[in-house]
Amino acid sequence: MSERPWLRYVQFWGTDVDRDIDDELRYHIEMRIADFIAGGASPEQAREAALRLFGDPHSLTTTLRAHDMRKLKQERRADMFQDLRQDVQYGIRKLMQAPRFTAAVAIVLALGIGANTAVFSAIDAAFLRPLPFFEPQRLVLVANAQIRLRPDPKRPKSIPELDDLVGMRDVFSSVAGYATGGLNLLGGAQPMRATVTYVTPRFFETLGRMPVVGRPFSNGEQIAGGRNAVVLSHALWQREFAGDPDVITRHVSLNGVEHDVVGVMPADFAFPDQTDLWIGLQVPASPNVMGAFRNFFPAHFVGRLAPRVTESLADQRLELLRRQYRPKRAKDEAPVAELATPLRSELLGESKAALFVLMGSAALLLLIACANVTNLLLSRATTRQREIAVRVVLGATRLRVIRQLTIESALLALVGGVMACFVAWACVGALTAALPAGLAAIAPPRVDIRVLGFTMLVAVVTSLIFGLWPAVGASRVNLNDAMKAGGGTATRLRGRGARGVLVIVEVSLALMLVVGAGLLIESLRTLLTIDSGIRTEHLVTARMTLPAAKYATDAAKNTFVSSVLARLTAAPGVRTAAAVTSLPMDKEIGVSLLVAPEDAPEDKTRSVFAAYLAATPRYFRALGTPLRGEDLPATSDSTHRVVVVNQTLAKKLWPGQDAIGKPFNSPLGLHTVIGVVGDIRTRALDREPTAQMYFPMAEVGEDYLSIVVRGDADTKTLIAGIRDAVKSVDPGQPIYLARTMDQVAAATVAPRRTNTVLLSAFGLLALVLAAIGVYAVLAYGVAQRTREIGVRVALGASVSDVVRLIVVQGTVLAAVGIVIGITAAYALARYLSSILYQVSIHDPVVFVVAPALLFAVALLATWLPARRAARVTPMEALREA
Amino acid sequence: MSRDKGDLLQGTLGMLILKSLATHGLHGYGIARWIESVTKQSLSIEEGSLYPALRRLEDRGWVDSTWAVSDTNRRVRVYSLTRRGRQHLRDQATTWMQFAQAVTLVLRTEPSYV
Amino acid sequence: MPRDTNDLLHGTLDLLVLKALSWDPMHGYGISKWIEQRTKDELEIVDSALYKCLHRLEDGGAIAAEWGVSDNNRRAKYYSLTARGRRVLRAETATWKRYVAAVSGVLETA
Repeated sequence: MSERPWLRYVQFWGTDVDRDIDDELRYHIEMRIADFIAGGASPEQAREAALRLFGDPHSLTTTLRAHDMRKLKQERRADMFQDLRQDVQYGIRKLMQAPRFTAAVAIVLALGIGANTAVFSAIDAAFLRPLPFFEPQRLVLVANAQIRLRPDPKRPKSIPELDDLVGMRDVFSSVAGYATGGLNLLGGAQPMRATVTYVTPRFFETLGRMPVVGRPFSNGEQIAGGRNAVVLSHALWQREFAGDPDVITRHVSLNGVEHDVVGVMPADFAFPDQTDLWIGLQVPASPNVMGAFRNFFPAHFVGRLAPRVTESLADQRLELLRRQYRPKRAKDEAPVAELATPLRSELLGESKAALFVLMGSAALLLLIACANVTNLLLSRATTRQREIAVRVVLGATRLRVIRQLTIESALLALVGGVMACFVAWACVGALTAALPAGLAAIAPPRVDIRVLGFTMLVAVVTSLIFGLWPAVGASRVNLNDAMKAGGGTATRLRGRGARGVLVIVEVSLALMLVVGAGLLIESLRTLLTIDSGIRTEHLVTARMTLPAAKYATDAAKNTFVSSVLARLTAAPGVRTAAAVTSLPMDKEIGVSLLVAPEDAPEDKTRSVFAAYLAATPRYFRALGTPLRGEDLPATSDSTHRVVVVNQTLAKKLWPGQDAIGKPFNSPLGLHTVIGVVGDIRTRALDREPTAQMYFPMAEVGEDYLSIVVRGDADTKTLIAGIRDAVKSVDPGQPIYLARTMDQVAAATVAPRRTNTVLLSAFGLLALVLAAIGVYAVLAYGVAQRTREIGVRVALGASVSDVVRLIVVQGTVLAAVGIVIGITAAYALARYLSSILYQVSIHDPVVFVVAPALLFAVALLATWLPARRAARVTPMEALREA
Repeated sequence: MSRDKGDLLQGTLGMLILKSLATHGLHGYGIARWIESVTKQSLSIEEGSLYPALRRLEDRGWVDSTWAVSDTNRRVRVYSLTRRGRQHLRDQATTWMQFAQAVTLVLRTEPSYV
Repeated sequence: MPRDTNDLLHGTLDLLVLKALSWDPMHGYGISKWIEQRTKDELEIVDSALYKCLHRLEDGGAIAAEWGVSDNNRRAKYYSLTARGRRVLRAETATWKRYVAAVSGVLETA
């Protein structure tokens, strides 16, 4: 080792701890031995004495080694941070030197990452973030059970009831029932219609949330004849009671019945959604309760699974219970699936598929953005070859160069990520509409720390995707080529091939998004052009409920309704005014009844279910629905009871015959059909019309109704007209849900519209990015080949030859991308099937228009570089060279 | 009861090392030889314990080390005093002097051997 | 400075304790008071270190302990120097003197 000491002195690979310690201690001992020998000792004696004097070299080596290794690590870490800081500073300086490049990349990334962040905020709300209840994963909704408001011992239970569920202590640690309806509220800032939820005992306890002000219901408030009590929602408390902390000493009137306010729930407790206040349900219930529900009690049940009870176990136990109540049929009945559904999936409903499509689309968009940025970086790397070569010559290792460039990418991604947060923040409102209202109310999408964390993760991954390749490529510099002005030919050619591939990828991904957006647009278009059965323009509506206390008799109700309608009809700008029990396309729980042609009341095969509705005269005219035969009468005539049926019902009951004049049997008695009206989509735009029958309002005396008004005045005036008319007849009567029919129709397709708008935005962005990609690669090619073009021109090539050269290049790239994209889109379209409405997933129009559109955009992007190329003169080309 | 000078010296070793480097840098063996010579061999410790002591002084920033080549063409580690080390040596020497005087004072009191 | 003194004291405490007991048998508190007085409070004895030291010396047979009654009529353990302790004291004192001479010599070199 002492032969070539310089070899040990020059340390190529940094510090070698073991060798250093060995050298130092060995030197000490050897010197000591040498001194002893010089003093006259024999070599053996000298060694022995030296070692005795020194102590144990082995344990010492261990001690020193541990110390030195620790220190070395600290130093290395410090060095690394130092290097990293230098690289970051250098990177920032480089990016600042190219502000346009930096801005372009940051904007592209911000859009790409922002789209993902925004969609993720919805995914987070829908799947990941815990619902604002105690241990929400243990909450399930229980189907197939009921609450009988007036239990009658003579009529035994036919399906499980609340007490059965409460009895299953080993399955549910707590169960509660609830039903949402509406009541007229007095006692707040103004009379209003309140959405009320009747709840059984332990409702708040089951969900695990308590009022922030006051208390939940006491036992005394939940038994028949006890005090009537309500708990307010936070929103209602703020809006109608100005957040008054003493609200719990106040009283409110609901449909004329006094209730004590006992508590206020927290702001994030919106369950079920839109509930203004919760009322303790008392069983047997007072008749007043039914005022909220139109004779139908829509009970739901929420249960908290006992520890270690799974949903499937709960399912099995509920199925057993269900069969107990129908022993006769139990044998041949298939089990009902999912009697217990996790609360979250129940709230999420069918939105799952749409959310996944959105997430996938956002990911595609990000990939396009990455391809675009990679492209920009590749171009930039070529122009930076000299700079990189200089760094290599100055001693930077290849790894160091890659790290430097990767850090620049990470900085770009960071800037993009920060901007993305703002993009996402701006889009969160739109994403809220992509969730079902019930879920959005308690778990609204928001840009919180989790979502920001996701954004940063995406930014980092993104920077690796778009940055690594250009960095590795750029680090592979050929020093000779690079140091020559203009850059190396070989590198340039390789770069051009790579960029071509990127453009193809971009075009194909963009096409997939455009096809997806096209299919959704086509689907929405189909839906909006569907004949809903009514003409929604110039049509407004408002709802009201007549309190039973004030309007006790049918006559009183009829008088009220007809005077309101008379006033409305007389108002300027109004053409027709009418009233109906159930508004078309409004999500309402209607009642269907079993009806039959009069000649076959016993023939079960000819009975059908038909939706029950009641309307005033001129209702069909107001809606613009064609009516054959007579309109409904304004008064009831017990000797001549009449009904109007829709075409679907007419066809079902009297196929091939004219329904007019036919007798008709329903639970309301025998009626004569006097008219057949066109089909109206009563549930939602995307639901097929059902069989419907309309009875004269005067005959049935409903207290729950919607006013519809058609007129030439603008919709605001028309709505104000309804309010005035009602007020002038009864100042204490509130109206609610005053809207245009267009709004009602739009609400039924709102989630689809949101999805379509978002996906179209993604598609449009993809289109723009792809166009930029095509443009960038061709423009760069033209700039690089100026000399070649110049020579061609000098040799007599015409302008059109040059243009053709460029256009062909762009066209080939676009065409290859389109072919790949259309194949992929064709394969992936099936994931859209569940969110499309009456559009084939391989809709030929979309699959022709989308590629054509993309191709046109690509050609446009080709045009600018081609024009530039056409202007190249031989002189200019020579100067360039 | 084998208490010897080693124990006493251990508390002072750092100070002695700093002192040894006061004029110029030395390698480990040189430090050992210097202490040996100035104490006229009346104090001796296991020489190996010099090295952990040197590491401790280096960690505190009182001593620096570099690698160099010796006259005999051997690779040696040379230690030198830093500015902070010099300051610390001054402070520690004062402290030690006061302490030694205090203890010596006690030991001089009679009757020591009654 | 106190911390440095404590480090230094580590090897010297045995010596000081033996010296203290060469006057009279004393209880632990008395020993620490004695040392502090004689060093004009230059040295402060940490109790735990003192008792560890006493234990060590007793184990080594340099001092012996017996129960007695203190001035204020409290039961206290009194320590006294044994013959062996005297020999140790003599040897340690010599060592100490050599040590001080050597180290002061080193410190005084230019």
